[in-house]
Amino acid sequence: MNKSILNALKSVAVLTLIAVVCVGLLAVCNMFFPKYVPTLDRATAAQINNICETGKSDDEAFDGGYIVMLQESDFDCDIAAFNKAHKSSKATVLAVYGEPKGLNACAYVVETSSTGRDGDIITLTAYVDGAIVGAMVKKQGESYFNKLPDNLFDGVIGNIGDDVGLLDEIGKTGATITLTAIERALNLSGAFAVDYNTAIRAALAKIVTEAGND
Amino acid sequence: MTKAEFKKTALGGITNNPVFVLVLGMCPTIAKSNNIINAVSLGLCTAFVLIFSNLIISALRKVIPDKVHLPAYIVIIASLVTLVQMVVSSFMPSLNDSIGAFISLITVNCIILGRAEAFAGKNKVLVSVVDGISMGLGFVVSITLLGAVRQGLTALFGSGFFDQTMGGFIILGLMMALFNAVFAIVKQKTAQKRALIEKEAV
Repeated sequence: MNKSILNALKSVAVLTLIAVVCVGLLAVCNMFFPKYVPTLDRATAAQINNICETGKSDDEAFDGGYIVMLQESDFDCDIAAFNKAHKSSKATVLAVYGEPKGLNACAYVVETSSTGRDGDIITLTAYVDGAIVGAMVKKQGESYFNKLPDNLFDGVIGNIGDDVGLLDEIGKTGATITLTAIERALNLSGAFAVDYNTAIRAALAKIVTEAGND
Repeated sequence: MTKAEFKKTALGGITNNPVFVLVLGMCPTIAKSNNIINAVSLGLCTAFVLIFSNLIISALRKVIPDKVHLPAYIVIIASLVTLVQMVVSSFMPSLNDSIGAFISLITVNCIILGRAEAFAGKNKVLVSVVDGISMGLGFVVSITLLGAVRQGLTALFGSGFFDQTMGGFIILGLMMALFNAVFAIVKQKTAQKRALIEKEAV
């Protein structure tokens, strides 16, 4: 093997080694950073109350059980299996919250995550009878998020299923990757709502009945 | 390395100030010096990457082949920037909202690649770290000063000019002129003093 080929191979090997070591170290570091865990806290309850009104103040809605976090067993669902089945959607369902009583009794909110330009975008989508009644971005770190219009979700109200076309609807914004990620999140939560609408509503009705019996 | 050379490296942040003398890294300097918090934060992030990239690149300088030294430097710098971004986005989300895009851009900041190419790739580890600290502090101080002046002027005259790019360029130009004028006077006085000492010695 002549010298120039050896030099080329050495260059490629060193560069590959540096890249592998860097990626490995970053992966190790990543394990020590806090991961997002969906929880129903006061802030989340206020956000849910904002997109799907309970008719009560944020504190009342949170303390009075107007907004609850549903467990998978409540509506006989395996969220991990659902996410696995919809792997191609490049988004994941994280949690489901419900409103067992109040102005929109039996409404529910699906929390989804999808990868944007600068990390995960967490979206909350509220449904009544499987149709979107409100949506908002709960958490994001997108550099160009401010390029998106304030009325981003106005056009998706009333939508049923997984055919939300935010990109076509809003057009060029300068934040296409972010918008695509939000669209993916909405479509996955739409698919989830189609599959589990009846089960979630039944679970919420059961919560009200049980509370009434107590 | 002699004591004089070490001193020269340590004072590099002033004599070769990346903002006021070398005029490097202008994009983040102008874009994020509209308030002091953003300016200090971005300066510190850049300084961290600069110091550690100098350290790593200097330590690996004999291992990295010449033909791939630039891609290798970029991989190292980008990894450090990713680490900084992970820390900022995890623990300081509000700061990430305001300077997040410019943290990613540190990867292609001329100051960092410039120091890696011109200094760290040719010098020993300790002196490269000193160069990184000096240049990093030079950048932090310059961008902080610029941020303080712009924020002060914005508070005095209202927003719309000094917190915008055009106002930023004008303030930067004036501060650059002032820095270089003061530096030239100091240099001249030092040279005169040295000449006097030499004359007395003769």
